[in-house]
Amino acid sequence: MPETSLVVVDPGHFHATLVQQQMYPELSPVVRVYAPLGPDLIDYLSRIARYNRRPQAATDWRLDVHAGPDFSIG
Amino acid sequence: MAARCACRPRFLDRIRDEPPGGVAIFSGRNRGKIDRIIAALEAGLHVLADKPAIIEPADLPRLEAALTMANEQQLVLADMMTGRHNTLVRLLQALRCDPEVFGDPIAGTGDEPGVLLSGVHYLRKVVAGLPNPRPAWYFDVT
Repeated sequence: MPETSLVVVDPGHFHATLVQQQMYPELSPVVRVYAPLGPDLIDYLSRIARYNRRPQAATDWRLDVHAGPDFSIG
Repeated sequence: MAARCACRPRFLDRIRDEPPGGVAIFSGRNRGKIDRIIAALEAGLHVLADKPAIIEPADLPRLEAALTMANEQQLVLADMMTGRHNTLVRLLQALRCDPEVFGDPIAGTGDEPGVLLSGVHYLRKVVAGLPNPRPAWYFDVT
């Protein structure tokens, strides 16, 4: 598995998911996500789920989500 | 930097625990984004950040320091939306800047403005056939 991985921090704009429209051989499929539990995180997860479930060129992202209650926005 | 530690959100500490060599993705939440960018660079992460990296002129030195740090550590710190810099867009910008092609901007009048804004994607946008609702905080300019 590639050692380079994505770390998505508090995705508040759909542009974050555009980076994950396709898989890259140089990138690990495991992505760590740090975000407060809320609608923005759910929106991000929904978009990635659609990429993973689409009939053609589906992605295979595996998300390691850290949405602890102690997350705070800077 | 030490004075900033006391009020640093915990996730900034978490990002420091990330193994170096990864790529941190930042989008939205423009206020404080430069703090996150710097924390990621200090952790040895590359950074792809959506524009704007900063929203206050006072933060320009910090952005410059971040770019210097990235350069010194041979890390990538770049705009994530590379389409803004692709060949077609650059060509259009070059043509726009050539008076022989574009001419000169005109002042216009109230009835016939010199510039018309036709895109409203910041208010209403469809992505991949689905409406893209903006979160409520998007409209909070404070």
